[in-house]
Amino acid sequence: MSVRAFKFFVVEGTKSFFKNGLMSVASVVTVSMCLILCGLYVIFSMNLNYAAKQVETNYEIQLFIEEGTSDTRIADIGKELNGIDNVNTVVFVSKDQAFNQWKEGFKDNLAILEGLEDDNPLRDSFKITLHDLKQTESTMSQVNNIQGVAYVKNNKDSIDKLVDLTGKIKNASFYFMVFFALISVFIISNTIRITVFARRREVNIMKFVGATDWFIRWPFVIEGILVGLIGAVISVLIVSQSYGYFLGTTGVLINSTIQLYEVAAVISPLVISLAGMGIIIGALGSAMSLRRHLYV
Amino acid sequence: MIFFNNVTKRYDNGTVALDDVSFFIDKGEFVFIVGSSGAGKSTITKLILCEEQPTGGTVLINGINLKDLKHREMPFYRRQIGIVFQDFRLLPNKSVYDNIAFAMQVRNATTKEIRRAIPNVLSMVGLSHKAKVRPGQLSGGEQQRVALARAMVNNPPVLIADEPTGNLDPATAFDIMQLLEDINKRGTTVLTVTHARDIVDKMKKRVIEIDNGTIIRDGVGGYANECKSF
Repeated sequence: MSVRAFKFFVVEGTKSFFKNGLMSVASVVTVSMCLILCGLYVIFSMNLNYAAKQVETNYEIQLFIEEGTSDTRIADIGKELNGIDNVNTVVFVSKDQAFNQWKEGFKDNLAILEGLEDDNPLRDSFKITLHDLKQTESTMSQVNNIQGVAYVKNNKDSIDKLVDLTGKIKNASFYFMVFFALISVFIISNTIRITVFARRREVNIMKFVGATDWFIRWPFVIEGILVGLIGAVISVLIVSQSYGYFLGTTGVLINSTIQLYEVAAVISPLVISLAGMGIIIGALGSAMSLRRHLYV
Repeated sequence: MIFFNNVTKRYDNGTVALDDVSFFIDKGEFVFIVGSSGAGKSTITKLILCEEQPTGGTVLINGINLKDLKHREMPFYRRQIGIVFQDFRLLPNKSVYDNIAFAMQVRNATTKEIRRAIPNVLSMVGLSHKAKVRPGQLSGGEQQRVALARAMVNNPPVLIADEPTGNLDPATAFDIMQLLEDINKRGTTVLTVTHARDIVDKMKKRVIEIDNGTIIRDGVGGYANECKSF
């Protein structure tokens, strides 16, 4: 396509967008509605991934050391733990540190701990986090084989369920997105079809003066892209504002160990995905709606 | 130039619009196709414009067999034919200038070429002063002149006028026919489909009369007069 032709198509498509005032507004509203729902799903899946990641990185396994183990052996255990591939972080918690943390927990009722300070019943321990929770079982068998480890505290069953559930939600939301994108293209191509039907006479004239299919199609496609882009801008504004409002009002209800993305962090993915979807939906919708009128 | 060889056109509902029709129109001729409504004359236009395909026989335009024409080749073929319709078919949102320019833009003409060609063609149809006006602000006769200017701006070898005076008063209709004759004198083959008896009588050109899908007369003369047969 020559630069001259491209300029002509852009000018024609833009002019036509403004000339078809009401129909353009109707198309933009339809695209915005679809993109708002898509945007909500983008934020939902982003936060779901983020939450799952946090659960995985914050998940700790605690290994308690046998009573009477020497400091040298404890240091070796730390080295052995660091040597296991799937182990991410290793933190040593001495029995004194554990007792102090315990005290912190009971600070309003310290009488319960009276007498225990001289005879600390707690053990030295290591807290480890893993790279990949799916490999918990094999990592656990390696950890259990380390000499000097008395026992291991591990919520593996509940973690398995969580990993399984987030996987299922991710899959379901992906299929829902694909389904929803298809529905959007269908709705939008029908809305644009009404615009094209109103201008079928114009298309017919173009055919008789010798315009090629693409010469006719391009201004419509550019108009569709414009509809998609304006719809994307509107939906990004609405979705990001609503998300900000949601964070402001419900932030306190969410468990403090799970963080949600800040509004600023979701803007770029929202703009990229919704503008991309808007452009594709608008362009595809226009091109598809025109097809029938081009065979004259 | 235009050759219909044993052409038959049967529509899906069974109507036979043309039945074994043959005629030849040479380069530079001016020919009227006449006949009553439903006689089949519009089908001839549709076949030339490739809007319809013949059921039997061959249509050759400028040596091109229209049956062999692929969909993607159609626009390039149509650029060789100027077309004027009864209802003018101008783009209502574009000015007179832009309507004519559009026919040049489709074949990727440069702005310079467009600026050079349009004043010439507008002066030919006598509308140089109306270049910036929209079609809705023009009379029927003026709109048909714009349509003629658009049809001629690319200098096509053939001009098809399908009932060009159907929506016009007699005086304006005659002006349009004069314009068609001028265009023909410059070397363009003109094929006019009409049922305007008075105009055909006055012009004394070759007339092909169709009735019930067959040619009942082909010769020079008026609509109702005895004519010299080919």
